[in-house]
Amino acid sequence: MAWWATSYRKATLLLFGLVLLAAGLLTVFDLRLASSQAITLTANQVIEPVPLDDPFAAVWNQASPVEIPLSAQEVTQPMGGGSARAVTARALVDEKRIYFLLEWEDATEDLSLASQEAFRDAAAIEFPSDGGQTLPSFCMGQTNAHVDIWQWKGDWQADIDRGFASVAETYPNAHVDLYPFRDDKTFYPGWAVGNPFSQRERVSPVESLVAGGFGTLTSADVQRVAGVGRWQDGRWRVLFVRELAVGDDDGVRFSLGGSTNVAFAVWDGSRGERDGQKSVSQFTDLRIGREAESGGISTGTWILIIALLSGLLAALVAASGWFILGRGRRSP
Amino acid sequence: MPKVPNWQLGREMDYPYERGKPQRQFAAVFNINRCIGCQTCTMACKSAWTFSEGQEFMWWNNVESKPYGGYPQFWDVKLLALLDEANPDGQVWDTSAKDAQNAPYGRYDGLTIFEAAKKAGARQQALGYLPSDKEWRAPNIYEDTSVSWSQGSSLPEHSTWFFYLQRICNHCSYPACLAACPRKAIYKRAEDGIVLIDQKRCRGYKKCVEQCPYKKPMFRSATRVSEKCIACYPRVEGKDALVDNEPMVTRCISACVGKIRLQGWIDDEKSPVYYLVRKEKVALPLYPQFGTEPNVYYIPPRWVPRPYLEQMFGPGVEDAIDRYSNPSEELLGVLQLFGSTQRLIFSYEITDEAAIGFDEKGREIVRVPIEEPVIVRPPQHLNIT
Amino acid sequence: MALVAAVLPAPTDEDLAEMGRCYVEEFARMGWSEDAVMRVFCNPFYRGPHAVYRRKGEQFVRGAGRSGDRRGWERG
Repeated sequence: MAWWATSYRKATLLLFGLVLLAAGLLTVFDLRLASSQAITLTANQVIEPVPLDDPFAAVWNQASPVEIPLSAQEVTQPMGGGSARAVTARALVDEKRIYFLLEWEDATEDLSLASQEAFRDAAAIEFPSDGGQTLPSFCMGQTNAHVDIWQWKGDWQADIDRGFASVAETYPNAHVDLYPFRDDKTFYPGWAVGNPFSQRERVSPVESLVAGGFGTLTSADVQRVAGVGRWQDGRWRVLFVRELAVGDDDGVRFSLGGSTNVAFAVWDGSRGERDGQKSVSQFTDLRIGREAESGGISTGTWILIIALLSGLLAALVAASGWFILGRGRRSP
Repeated sequence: MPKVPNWQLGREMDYPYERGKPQRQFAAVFNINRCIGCQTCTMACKSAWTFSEGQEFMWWNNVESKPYGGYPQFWDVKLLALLDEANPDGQVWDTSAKDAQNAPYGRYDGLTIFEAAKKAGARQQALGYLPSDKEWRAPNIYEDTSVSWSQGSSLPEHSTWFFYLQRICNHCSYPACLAACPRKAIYKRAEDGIVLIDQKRCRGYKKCVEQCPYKKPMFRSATRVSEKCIACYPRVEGKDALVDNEPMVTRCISACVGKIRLQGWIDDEKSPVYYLVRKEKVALPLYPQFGTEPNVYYIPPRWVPRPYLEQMFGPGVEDAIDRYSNPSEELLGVLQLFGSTQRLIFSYEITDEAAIGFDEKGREIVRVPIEEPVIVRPPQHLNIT
Repeated sequence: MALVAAVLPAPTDEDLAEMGRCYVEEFARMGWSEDAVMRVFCNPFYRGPHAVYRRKGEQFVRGAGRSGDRRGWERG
């Protein structure tokens, strides 16, 4: 067999091999090229103060809104959701804090979870816990790549605005003659064991959580995310705020000029959406500050780029081999 | 989805988790024939566990009048309708496939709530629905309401059959609430099979409320998490110094005026409950076709039309009623042990004179004479009106 | 009231008879004498047993107690 033929086959094999290797690496490290949505949310740097209690403040005109498509959660039980088709995300950053503003359409303002049939509206932002070194599954992360989640809840917002809803407020016509031990936590087990849902004094409508796979979602030990949500004319606007500088174990780290990934979720309470029944996005790129570097490409993307470059190189080698050989053949 | 054995159905079935067999399984037998519907059990439970804010509507123990009553309203009718919709005319038993150990009632050829959910496209782990506030709010509505008035002010006399159904959590071997919880906040205890909701992990999604076919987990608005019957586990564990830290039966069982209840272990051959359910087969599971392998067993009421009872307790009804109406000496003896002590009877012995109950260590804790002495109050103290 | 509409077999004379037998036997199993049981059935205060007594008659009630092994019944 002519030498060129062997060389050509070698090149083809090399190409296949590299592609396989890339695929294998992606599989082994469970990396997903979720950023392929090709949307980048940039947290523009602002100098004037961002009000912590007004999601409609004028300073938000300085943000660059990005429309993030959402779809029903169809990966694990309980599946469903999908009533919100998109969420508009904005982000700002200053010397001290990072701010996110989510805006989406929802015909009803669902603030109560109190009755047997009611569910609340909610919204969440998710980040890779390690800042995007390894891109976790956008569905609650995985054991070797956790996610940080900030969830704003309509009922927590109502707790802050109006106080923790009592049964008498939920059911104004109900009559109860006496509650013995009314303020004794012993008789409110959720409250007594420190379940965040049962606590009557709320500091923030946003809960900070960590997860490493389905069913592992756990409230974070340190709660540092503030926020506010307001419903107006069939739209929610929810503001999330956190200090940039936090302790080592206080949640996801952001740095001015850096980048990471971010995903979003929205729940419509009046449609019975809760837990996995939600409208979700995949991970999208997040750049922090105007001077955000062009880098910040995730490991998965790097592997793909290397694979493609190697493939290109192999193709070039093969092509030049064919060209050389073609010339050789024509010569006597 | 793993396959698990379900002896009540005489076959294997789909369940989201592998079988995790507890060291022993909490169980109870309720004798419907003797219930007078006084709700003392209901109040015993209420005054022990559910008297605080957010629990107003909660009746971990309730007694409903069948066929009309239900708490929450129409819970069983709704579930049966959903199952029939999922598998029209297919919810049937093959009674020819009987086998004393593995299929005492024959083989169930219909769909369980887990299988029906899978067939419906697996949006839920178990087929279910979320009851409304209205369905929860009046536990005994319509049960004793007359449909017409007659004879002036006197109440009408119902000329139709009815019976009382006593309900607590079934502490199922395959709990649908546990299967439904996306957070694994519900667990079945290894030591006694009691099913509990972790009050710290629960996030109030109401998935257990939606998918428990017996509707025994309930959402508490005052803590925004769900709660359920806990089988009085501190009593079962023997944490009460009043009774020398010995295992006791639940509040509803010990408070029963009509002595219709007996607590024990379903998988311990020495337990009187094992005898009634597995050996004598006089007590039957409630809606075994749901597939959760419930662990509260009922001696069916003798006077109720059989098709209704068979829908509710499966094909073992005729034999159970026959044995109950023509009882053996041993059965008569074991029936004496019902409501005879607050202590938990682990084993028993029936002699010619007495039914004797023993604790876990084999010490006698109760002795009931087979022939009770009759003492008649003298005429001046007659208490029969 | 429209909600109360389950289709059920019409009550038969035998349903009532079985309910009556059940009443009698549960008392008898507790060791009640025929005399004591009859006093309950004859008394309109006890609506269930008395309804059986009125509709099925005294002989039915006494007979229900005599059939089978009914401790205490024979003690009279």
